[in-house]
Amino acid sequence: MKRITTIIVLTASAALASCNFDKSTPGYTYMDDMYQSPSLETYEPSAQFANGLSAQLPVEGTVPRGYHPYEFANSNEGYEAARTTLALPTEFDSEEALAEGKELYNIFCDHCHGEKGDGNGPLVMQEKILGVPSYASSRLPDITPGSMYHVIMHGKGIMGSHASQLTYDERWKIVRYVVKLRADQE
Amino acid sequence: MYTTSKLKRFASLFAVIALMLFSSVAQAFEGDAKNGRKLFKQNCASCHKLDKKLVGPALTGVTDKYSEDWLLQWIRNNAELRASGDEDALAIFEEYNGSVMSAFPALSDQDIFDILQYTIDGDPKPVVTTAGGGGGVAAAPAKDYSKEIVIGLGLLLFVMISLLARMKNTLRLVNGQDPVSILDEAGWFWGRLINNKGFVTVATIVVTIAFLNQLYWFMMGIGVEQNYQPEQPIAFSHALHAGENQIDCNYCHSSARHSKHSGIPSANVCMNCHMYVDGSEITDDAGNLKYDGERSPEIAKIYAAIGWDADERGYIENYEQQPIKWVRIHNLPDLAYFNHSQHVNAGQLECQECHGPVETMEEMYQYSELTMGWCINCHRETEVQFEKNGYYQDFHEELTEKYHGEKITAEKIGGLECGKCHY
Repeated sequence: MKRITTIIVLTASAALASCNFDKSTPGYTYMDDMYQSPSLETYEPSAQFANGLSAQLPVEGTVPRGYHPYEFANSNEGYEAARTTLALPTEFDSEEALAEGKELYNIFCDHCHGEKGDGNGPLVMQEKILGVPSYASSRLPDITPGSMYHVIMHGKGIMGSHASQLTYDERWKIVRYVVKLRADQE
Repeated sequence: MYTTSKLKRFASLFAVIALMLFSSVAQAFEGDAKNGRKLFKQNCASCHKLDKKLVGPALTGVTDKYSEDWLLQWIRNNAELRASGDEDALAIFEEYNGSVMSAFPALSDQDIFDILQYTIDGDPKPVVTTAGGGGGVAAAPAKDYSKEIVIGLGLLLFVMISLLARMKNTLRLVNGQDPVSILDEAGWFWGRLINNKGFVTVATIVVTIAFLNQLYWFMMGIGVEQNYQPEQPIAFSHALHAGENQIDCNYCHSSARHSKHSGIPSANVCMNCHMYVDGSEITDDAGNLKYDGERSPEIAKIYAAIGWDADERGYIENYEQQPIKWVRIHNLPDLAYFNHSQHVNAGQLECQECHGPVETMEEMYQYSELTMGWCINCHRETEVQFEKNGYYQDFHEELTEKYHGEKITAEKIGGLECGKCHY
């Protein structure tokens, strides 16, 4: 009798213990050293650096691979200069770039600018972000590939800079696709 | 002294006349505020609000400040007006740090009057839903009663058993026998069972197997962090951002396509939208303002972390920025290597295949097991995406020949080799 009771209690407690009821903790691991080596995980805090972050910025003046300097300042003059002098590099004027541009546009732009570039993205239709212009020349008469690239780099009005999310190539591919959308709007 | 006071008097008189003139002008045009509201949302709302400064000034009362003709000229083509040396135009341009307002040559006079009428009339008052009214009860959410049902059924069973016991005893009394307590009867039955060797053997085997089975799954569950759902520093909702707003996962997690990690977006990515969207317009299910028109406290946490002054609309200088300490949910052990870009680009997997229906998750949790068996299963079943992949083209032909047209899974290109993930 006693033995059976013990077994029942043990089984029940094992069954209870096997469900991790507390979702806010990750639980246990077998060999912690193998799971958590001393090397830093991405974004982990670190006492080694003065600001306590392991995600340090590169040394000032560092030039990453594939880097393209952008010389136009975030100002009205910079915008005007980019608009008039910056042109779509010929290597991005291809069908392939257009197709990739479409893919990227649908990730990075369409929730505001709309799939067709008419300024009616889901966020605009829900009135969360308003006043997004269509790319059509009736609304934006004087934009050029240069000014589009400048706006992706620096933002304009309430649009923020998207430079950190996109590479040089990706930005130009999007510009190529926006040129097409603008032509389609006519 | 005399001349200045006279001048002052003259100036104030002039101001009064001008004000009367302008306010009479303001009433001179007829506009349709409804159409104006629509046009405002399409054309103006990216830089202007009625009651708050945005990129440009708040527009309520703009018709009192400027004349109708001036506004027509300014809205059509403000650059031209500035070029003509108009003082008001230059002053407003300077006040807003030289932000250039777009020209709107396509708007007709009537369109502009409609917009101006909207700046006077404002938004139509929202219909206030009366809570606690007779019909309000119907909207109450369905409650989960399963627990109560189980307890109720248990009680019913108990009542039935005691009723049956009573009946049995009554029958005994009718037959002239002594009544027996139900507990005594149960004890007698239990005594017979426990002395039955066959029963004890079977019961022990069943209980032992059940115990070992539970123990096995318990041990297997150690180190598996499925359903891990820590509390995050900001109550960010993926259901809202990725679901309702339809923002692509890669918009915020842009590094998933480029690197091993699908990074946590830095605050500048949040600010791409939240420079404009401050959550003050969020409504609850009943359609009432959730924060009484105030800024959302969750969005205010981003502003506090990076030093954005939402009233002045600028970053505070020399602000000591604070990191937002998000808690990492998906964490592979350091003994295994995983690369996001490989799976997102070459593998062309959807994020949801591993992370689950994130676009419905109010609060993020770990959907998959992330165990080795789980990885291996997927590598065995998933076909390699050879399309749109120049690197794989030749390789594909070679493999099709080798496997005689069988489907080529990740396993067949080495997806099960130990050294691919453990080194």
